[in-house]
Amino acid sequence: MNNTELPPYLDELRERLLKTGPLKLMDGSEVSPVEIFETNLKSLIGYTHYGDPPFDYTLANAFKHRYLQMTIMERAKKMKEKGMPVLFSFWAFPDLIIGSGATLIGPVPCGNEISLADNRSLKEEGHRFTSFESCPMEPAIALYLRDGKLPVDLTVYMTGMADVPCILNLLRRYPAISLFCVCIPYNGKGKPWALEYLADQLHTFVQKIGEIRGSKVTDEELRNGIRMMNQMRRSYVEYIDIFNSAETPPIAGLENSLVKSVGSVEAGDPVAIRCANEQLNEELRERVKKGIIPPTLKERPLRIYVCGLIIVSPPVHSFIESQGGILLGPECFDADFLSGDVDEKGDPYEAVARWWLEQRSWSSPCRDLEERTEWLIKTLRRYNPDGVIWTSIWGCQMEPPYARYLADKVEEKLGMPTMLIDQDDIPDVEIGEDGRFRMKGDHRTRIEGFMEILHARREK
Amino acid sequence: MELRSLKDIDKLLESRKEKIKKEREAGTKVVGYLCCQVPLELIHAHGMMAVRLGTASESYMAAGKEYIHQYTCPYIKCVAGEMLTKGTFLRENVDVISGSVICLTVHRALEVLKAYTKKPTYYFSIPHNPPDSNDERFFVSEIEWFSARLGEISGTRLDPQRLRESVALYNSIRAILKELYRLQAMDGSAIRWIDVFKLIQSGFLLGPEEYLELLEDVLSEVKQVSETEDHSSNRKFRIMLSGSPVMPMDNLIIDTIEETGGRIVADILCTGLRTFDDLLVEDATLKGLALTYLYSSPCASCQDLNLKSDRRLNKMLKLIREIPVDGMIYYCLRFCDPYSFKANEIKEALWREAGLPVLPIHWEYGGSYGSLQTRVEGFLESLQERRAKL
Repeated sequence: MNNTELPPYLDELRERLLKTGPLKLMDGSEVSPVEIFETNLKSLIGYTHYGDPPFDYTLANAFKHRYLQMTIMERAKKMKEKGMPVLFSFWAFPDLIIGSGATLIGPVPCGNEISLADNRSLKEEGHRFTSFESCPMEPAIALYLRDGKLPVDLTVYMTGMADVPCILNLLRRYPAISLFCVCIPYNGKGKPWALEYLADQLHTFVQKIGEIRGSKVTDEELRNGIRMMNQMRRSYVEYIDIFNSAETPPIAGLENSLVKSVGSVEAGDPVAIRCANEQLNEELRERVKKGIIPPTLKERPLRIYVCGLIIVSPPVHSFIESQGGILLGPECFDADFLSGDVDEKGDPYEAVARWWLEQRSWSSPCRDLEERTEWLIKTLRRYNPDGVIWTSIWGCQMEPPYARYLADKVEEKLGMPTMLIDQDDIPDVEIGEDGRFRMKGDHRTRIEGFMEILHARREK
Repeated sequence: MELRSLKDIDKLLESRKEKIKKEREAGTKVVGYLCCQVPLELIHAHGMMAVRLGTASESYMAAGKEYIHQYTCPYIKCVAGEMLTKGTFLRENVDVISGSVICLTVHRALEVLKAYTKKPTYYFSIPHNPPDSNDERFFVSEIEWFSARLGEISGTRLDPQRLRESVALYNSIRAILKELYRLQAMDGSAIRWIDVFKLIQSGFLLGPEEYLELLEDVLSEVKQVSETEDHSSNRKFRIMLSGSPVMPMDNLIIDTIEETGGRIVADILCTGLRTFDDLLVEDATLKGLALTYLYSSPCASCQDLNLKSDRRLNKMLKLIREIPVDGMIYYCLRFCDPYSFKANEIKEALWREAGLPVLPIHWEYGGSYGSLQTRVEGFLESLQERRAKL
C-alpha cells in the first residue's frame, strides 16, 4: 500500500516507529522498524474496522510486541530451518527450552491462528474429540498439532496446570507425535525429595531436546537461558513500576495485556521481548514525564485489577475505558514477572524446579492458598487498584475454585470491592476482525454496575 | 432376596457416628480423606479414625458451589458443601483433612477446605506418569512425610508392630471384599454388586474392626445361601460401570441400570473396586505401603503417553476377561475432566480390543431421570439386538 493512502494516524505511527531502534532477535538478527510497521500494517488492513479504537496508535513501541505476537509462527519456522528445535509448550519451562538452544510456541499463538482462519469446525471437532465441558480452545489446538500445522518437534506439558493434560491426552493416539509430560508434585514446596523429583524429570526433558538438536545440552547453556529469561522478566518488573508510577497509567489496557502476554505465554524469544520492553519502557517514561495520557483513557481512571484467567477481549477494554476505567494486571502474567529470578549460578535443573515449586504462585500446585493470597495482596498493594475482578472461562478449572476465597480475603484485608465473572465461551483473541469481538449483555451490565460502585466509593 | 447380614447396615452406620463422637471426646482424632490412595492402615496405626469425605446431595452441591465455583465437578462441590456447612457430621467431627492428590480439582478442594475450615490439612502427591524408580523414591518420601504429620497430630511415633497389625487388618478386609466381589459376579449369586458396593461404601465410615466383622458375617451368609439356593435364571445384561466417582447416596445411575434390565457385575470406580483392588500389602513397612498404593489401580488423571501401556485401560481389559460383561456404562460427572476427556478414547479402545460396547453418560446431580432412563434403555436394547445376532 502506498503511504499516501494511509489514514493520518497510521502515517503518524509510521513516523514514530521509524524513529525507534530495531528489534534484536535471539539468533543475532535484527528487524528494522520499517519491517515492523509493514507487518503490522498488513494485519491492520486485514482488520475490518481498523480505524476504530481500541489500538493506541500513538504508542509506537507497543507495535513491536504486536509484531512479535504476529510473527511467532513464521519465526519458529525459520528457526527450525536453521536446525533449532521447536517445542509446543503450555507455559512449561521456557528457561530450559531457551537454554537448550530451542524455541517455543505457546497456546495463544495457535489459538490466534485458529481464530484468524475462522476455523470453527476445528473447535467443534475438538469438542467432539474430548468433551463439551473442555476449555473451548485447547482441544482445537491439539488437533492443530495433530494435523502438522505447527513446525513442532516436541510437545511438553506439565501437570498441576490443568486437570488432565488435555493436549497430551488427545495426542497420545498418534504415536508419531513426540510428547513429554512433567509431573509437578502437589504440595511440593519445602520438600527436598520433591525438588529432586522435579529436577530429575527436567534432566530427562532437556536430554530429549538434546537428542532432537543432536548434541548434549550443557549446564552453562542452561544457565545462559535462565539469564536471558531473568533479564526479560526484570524488564517487565521495570515496566510494571513505570505503569504504577503515574496516576494515569501511560499505557492503555489492551496494549498492557498484549505486552504482558508476549512475555508470559509466548516467550519464544526472550532477547527480542526484552529489547521491545526496554524501548517501550523508555517511551513510557517519557510519557509519564510529560504527562501524556493514552487516547482511550480518562484522567485518573478507575483501576481494576484482573485475577483468574487471561482472556479479556478488546470490547471489554474499550467499554471499561469508555466508562472511565482501566484493567490492570492480569495476575496470571504478573505471576511470571513478579515471582523473582530463577537462580543463575547453581544447578540449573534445581534452580528451575525450585522456582516452580517455591516461587511462582498463580495456579500453583505447590504453594498453598494462604501463600497465594499473601502474594496477591502484595501485588494489589503494588498496583493500588480501586477494585478487583476474577474472570473464568468455560471448562477451565485451574483458577475458578480459588476465586471465591481470594475475593473474600481481598475484601477483608484491603476493603476493595470484588466481582466474579464467568464466561460461557471464550472470546476470540485480540487480533482479527472486529465483527466477532463480542461482549455479552450480562457482562456489560455487571461491569457497568461494578464500576458505578467504584465511582461512588471514590467520590466518597 | 435380601441377606440378613445386610439388613442392619444403615443402623450400624448411624451408631458408628455416635461411637466416633464418643471416641473423639476421649481424645481420638478423626482424619477425613480424599480419594482412594490414602493408606488407611497408616491412619489406623497412628491410633486415629479414618472417614472418607463426600456424600451426594443436591443441597451440599448448592452449598459447595458458593465456595468452589460452578465449573467444578459435583463430587467436589458436595465434598466442599458438606465440609463447609455448619452442623454436618463431617464438618463437626473431622479433625484433620487429608488426601492423596493426582486430580487437580481434588487439590483445589483440599486447599479451599484448609483455608476455610482452618483444620490441619495434609495431602501428598501421586505421580502422574507411569511409575519408575524416580517416582518410587518420591512417593516413598511422600508417605514417610504423611506418616510424620499423622504422628504430630496424634502425638504418636509409628510403631512397626502396630503398623503390621493394621496392615493385616486391612488385608483381611480387602481379601473378603475381593471374595464377595468375585461371588457377586457369578450367575445365581445371593449377593448383588449393588450390595457389595454398599458394603464398600460402609467402610468409608465404619471402624476397620467392626467392618471386618460385618464382612465376615456377610461372606459366611452368602456362602451358605449360594450353596442352598439356585439363582441361575438371571438373564439380565451384565454391565460394567466405570467413570467418575459414584458417591454414597448417588444411586440414580445404579438404580436406572438395574431397573431397566441391566445387572451391574463389575466396576472400575474410585468409590468401588479401586478402594481395595491391588491393595493387599505384602511388605508391612512404609516403603511397602507406598509401593503398593503407587502401583494400585490408577486414577484417570494418570498420564500415560503411550495408549497401549495405559494401566487403567489395561486394567479394564483384564477385568473384562475375569468378569465377562455385555457392555460398559461410562459415567461422567459434569466437569470431571479426568474421566470425561477419556470417555471417547475408552469407548474406541474397548470396542477395538474387546468388542465391548460402551455408553458414555454425561451427568450432573439433579438431572432428569427420564433422559437417563432413555439412554440406558436404548443401550440395553442395542445389547439385546447384539445378543440376538450372536
